[in-house]
Amino acid sequence: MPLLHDDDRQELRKLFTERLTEPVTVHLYTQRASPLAVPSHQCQTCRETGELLAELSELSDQIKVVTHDLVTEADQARRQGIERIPALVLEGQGRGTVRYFGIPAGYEFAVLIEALLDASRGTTSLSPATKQYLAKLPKPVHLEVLVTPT
Amino acid sequence: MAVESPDVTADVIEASEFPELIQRYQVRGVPKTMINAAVGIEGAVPEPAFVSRVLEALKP
Repeated sequence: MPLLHDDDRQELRKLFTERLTEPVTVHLYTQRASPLAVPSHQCQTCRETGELLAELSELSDQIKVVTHDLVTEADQARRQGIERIPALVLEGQGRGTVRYFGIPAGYEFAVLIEALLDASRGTTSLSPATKQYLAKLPKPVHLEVLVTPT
Repeated sequence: MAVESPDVTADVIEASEFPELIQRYQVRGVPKTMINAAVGIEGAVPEPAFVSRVLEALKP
């Protein structure tokens, strides 16, 4: 059964047609289904996150999903700073790095959609003052926003 | 901010899936934003306040 409702699909397709102007690649870090699953090492939301992304990518030609395995592609994971899964790295016109850890469900789904649109355009609705500060940051900034799915 | 600046990495973390972070960052409510794993911002704050907290956290 699909995760996205028909109504939502239609809304999203329209939104993507209007506003997803440039391509975005979503790198999904996950674990391959294994016949030797160890419950304590099982990624609870990896499969569902993968399904959600697959459904999203069907709604726009601009969304491409590339799936990586955390274990067999450890080098690439290290380069993108991925230590936990499921993880998404958005690659578009944005200059910095935008990542998601855990399943983007509930309210966070809307946040992911906004992030996709921003990544596609490479611009945001931040104020000119904020953009000025960002242009002259004295050192790298790592922001971690902890949320819950409700 | 991470879309605008090459110096910014922004992570959204579904905290309940990664309980070790709840402990490490002493998360009592969400959203909680950590700046360079050192300074925390509780709750959602307006953009100018958020920016000044970030700049403050970067001071030597």
